Amino acid sequence: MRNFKKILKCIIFTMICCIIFAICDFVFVPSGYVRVILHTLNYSDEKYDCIILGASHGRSAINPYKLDEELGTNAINLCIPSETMEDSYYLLKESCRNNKPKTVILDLDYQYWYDLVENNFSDAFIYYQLEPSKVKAEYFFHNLLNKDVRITFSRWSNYISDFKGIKDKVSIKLDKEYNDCDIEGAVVKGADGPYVGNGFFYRGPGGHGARGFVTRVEWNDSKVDEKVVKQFKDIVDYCNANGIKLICVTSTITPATVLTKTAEASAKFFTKLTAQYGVDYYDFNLLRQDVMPRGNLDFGDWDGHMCGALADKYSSIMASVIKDSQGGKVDRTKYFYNSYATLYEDVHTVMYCQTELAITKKEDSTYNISFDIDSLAGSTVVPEFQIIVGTTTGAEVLYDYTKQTKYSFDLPQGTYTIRVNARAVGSTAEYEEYCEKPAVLE
Amino acid sequence: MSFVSTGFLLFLLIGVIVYYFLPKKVQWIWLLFISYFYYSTYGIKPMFFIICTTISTYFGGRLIEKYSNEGANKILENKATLTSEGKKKIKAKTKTNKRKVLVFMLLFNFGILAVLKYFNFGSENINGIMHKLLGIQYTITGMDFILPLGISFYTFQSMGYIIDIYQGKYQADKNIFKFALFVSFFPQILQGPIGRYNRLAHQFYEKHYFDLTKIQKGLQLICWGFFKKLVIADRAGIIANQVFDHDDKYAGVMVIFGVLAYCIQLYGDFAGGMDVVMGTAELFDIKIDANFRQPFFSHSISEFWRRWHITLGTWMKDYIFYPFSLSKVMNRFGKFSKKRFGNAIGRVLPICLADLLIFFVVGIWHGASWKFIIYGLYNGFIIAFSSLFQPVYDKMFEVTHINPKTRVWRLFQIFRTFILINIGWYFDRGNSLKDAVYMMFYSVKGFSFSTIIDGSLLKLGLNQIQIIILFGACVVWFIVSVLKEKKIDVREAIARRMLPIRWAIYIALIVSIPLLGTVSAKVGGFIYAQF
Repeated sequence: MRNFKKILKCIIFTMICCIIFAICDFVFVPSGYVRVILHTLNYSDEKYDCIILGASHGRSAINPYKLDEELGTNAINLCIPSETMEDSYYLLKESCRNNKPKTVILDLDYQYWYDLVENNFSDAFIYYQLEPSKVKAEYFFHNLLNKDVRITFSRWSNYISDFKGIKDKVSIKLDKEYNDCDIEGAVVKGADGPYVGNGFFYRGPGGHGARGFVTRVEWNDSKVDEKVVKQFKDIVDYCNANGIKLICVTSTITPATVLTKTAEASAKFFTKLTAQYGVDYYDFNLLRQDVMPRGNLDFGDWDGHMCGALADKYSSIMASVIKDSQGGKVDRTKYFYNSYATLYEDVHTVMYCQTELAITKKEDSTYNISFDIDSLAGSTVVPEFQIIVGTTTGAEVLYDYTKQTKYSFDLPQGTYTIRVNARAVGSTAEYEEYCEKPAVLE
Repeated sequence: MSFVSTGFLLFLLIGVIVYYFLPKKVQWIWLLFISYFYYSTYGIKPMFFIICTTISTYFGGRLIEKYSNEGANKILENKATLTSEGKKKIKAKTKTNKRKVLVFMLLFNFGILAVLKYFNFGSENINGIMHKLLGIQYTITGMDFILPLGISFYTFQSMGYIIDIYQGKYQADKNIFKFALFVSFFPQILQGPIGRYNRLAHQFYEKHYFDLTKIQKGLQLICWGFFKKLVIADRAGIIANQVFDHDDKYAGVMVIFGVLAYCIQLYGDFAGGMDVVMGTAELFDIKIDANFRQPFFSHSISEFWRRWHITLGTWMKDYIFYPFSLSKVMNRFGKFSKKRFGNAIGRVLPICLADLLIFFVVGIWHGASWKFIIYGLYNGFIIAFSSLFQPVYDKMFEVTHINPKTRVWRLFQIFRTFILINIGWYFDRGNSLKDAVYMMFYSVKGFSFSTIIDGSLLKLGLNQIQIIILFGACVVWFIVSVLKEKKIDVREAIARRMLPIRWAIYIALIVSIPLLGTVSAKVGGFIYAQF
């Protein structure tokens, strides 16, 4: 009897702790959109037969409704920013709990294939949103055993980050929309556009001004994380075992970024890998400009998040490619350049220029401004640059177009805007690309 | 499998449940199994080394005991016929044989440790000497050895055992598997404490009955350890890492703040880790030696080292300090120094040398780098200096009429010791010896009180709320330390409170771990698990 009392006390104590953690989760954790998508996946009246997996590029690029129009499917986009291959695997399994997918479109984004920093604190966000099920248990045993104990039992990484937002979080969670798993009850970050439905956000047009440097990543096959390759294989095996057609794609990214050649190198790797497993792979960075005309401003950033208008076109083209493949064979020449070399040749302008000013105060109280220009252009293009110094009263061309990439000049105290215009040698355009940098000399 | 991982918690849960359900006679086998399982989660290759140490030490111990018994039996059997000369001969031969085994064991096991941990450090220094001093252009290439986790701890623990057997303190273990459990007991394998066979091993073979109170106490200690590690140490670590990893950016108060943060980080990390270790062992009804006793209440550096990493300190004292200071050579040196420097200095000089030696070893134990050696010697020198100048201090007290027993003086001593300890951290945490000296220099050079209030301290990785949390948590820890210093068993004291108060304290502790725990990928892992 005494032991029973003791054990009962322990159970009550544990329950109180659980309740407190649940309250903390409720109060501190922001309402994300993943639960809405997963709710749609599991509880929609329509069953989904085409599942789109991937990370943020896929989320902004693949409109499931366009696929449905062309392919007659009922597709859902389960691409979630920061979704790893492992997450994709479990999302696929989760999809199969209540749906019978016939096709899986897996968007391969090179950023998730190497140099992955294991983050004990944030990479279980999909796990939290999964309903209690065998899939969740499997996720737990495969992924969480090595991770910090706190992330398994609470969403603690959200706890101390924002005390001020508690009121808003609570009021959102008490709303009907939240409880009905309506997108209106979710706080969506980084989508930059309205929610269309079935996991797709229609990103608004991107501006030029705030963009910084293009990140140049040197792709190296040997740097590819073996764990990701294994997880990819798990997806292939799962699809094969369940009679699901797996189609791998790489969604089109910003044209300037393609010129860094990382996309080419990674696509070569993906082509080899998918061929090894007998999976269809389409690299949509190779889409011909006449098939899908596109420029940098069709994307929200250099990273490659596609804006809604282009996403609609892109999704329709992707659907056509898939339809062709279902009909037998895809005539790749109809859609794609035959190689990246041809793609680079077909770029006739400067696609990107950027710089960073180095300002040094001189002994005579003037300032020296120096900078190097970073640029990207087609393989047959020779870039030239023009330097314009702007003040509050007007602008003056300091250096007219030359091929020179390094500049150094002195300016007196004042506030300026240094603008670099770039164009191809021989072009008559005022500029093809530009960047502007403020210089406050005081 | 880190102590803070989900897997560890699950492992512990299964480990404890099965442990108490098993027949009492085989509980130790289960402990051995899970200890090896736990160690194997860090890789299979490191297991080779721990097995090697276990087997060699086991047979070494048995062999030493065999020689002891043979010698004793010989004397006993021939008691009537043996002359005292004959007895001496037998004893001498026995001792020689035992010593040979001991020396071989020490060379073999410390040799493994030395090669794996110090080969590259040694070769770098030899290369430096050859290239710069001798002009020889030959280069010894470094090796990419694996460093088995906890090798320093289990090697010291095993060698303590073999020396004790040699000294006849207790009998060698007859069962190699039972001995293997002593070497590999999982809670203490990674970061100690360095256990002693006579206090630890027998507990493994006793019958352990399920006792909910003990389980609760173990869990309380584990939670308290997590609190120190995750709420305090990891948070302070953000500041410490920022300052030490960018030592060229900071000066004055910022550096001093960084050093204090490191002090909190290290203490919280190590002491927190020890609480988790002790709490885990308590879940299995095993009591292991404490490694800390409120070290920052020490009045001197030597007292600090009796309160900080106690098991390493006592190991050094028992197996290096005494054998060295009582050796014939030191005896002769003592006599010589008494003649040369007088009684007062002559008496303490051998002790000072022994202190320097053990702190040199402590320095090397901490890592293969000159900064650690200097860190050890820094402590050794202060202790030696204090011993040598004790007569001068006594005289000063007499002249100045300071009563060293007053509260104010004792508080001053605590404060002085705290500062001296913190100076040592420059070497311990600095990226190199050069960086440590550079940081020390800039602590003084760029010193400005205005830095304390101008908001610069908030640019070291923690905002105001985070610093308040850190400060508040440290206050809680300080109160608990004061209570412990006053010999109050905090867990017992809480257990005597009314249920609502008791539960409120427990819940506050549990909830504080995730609620106030640090969110940073830049910290994590226990510092002493790298040894």
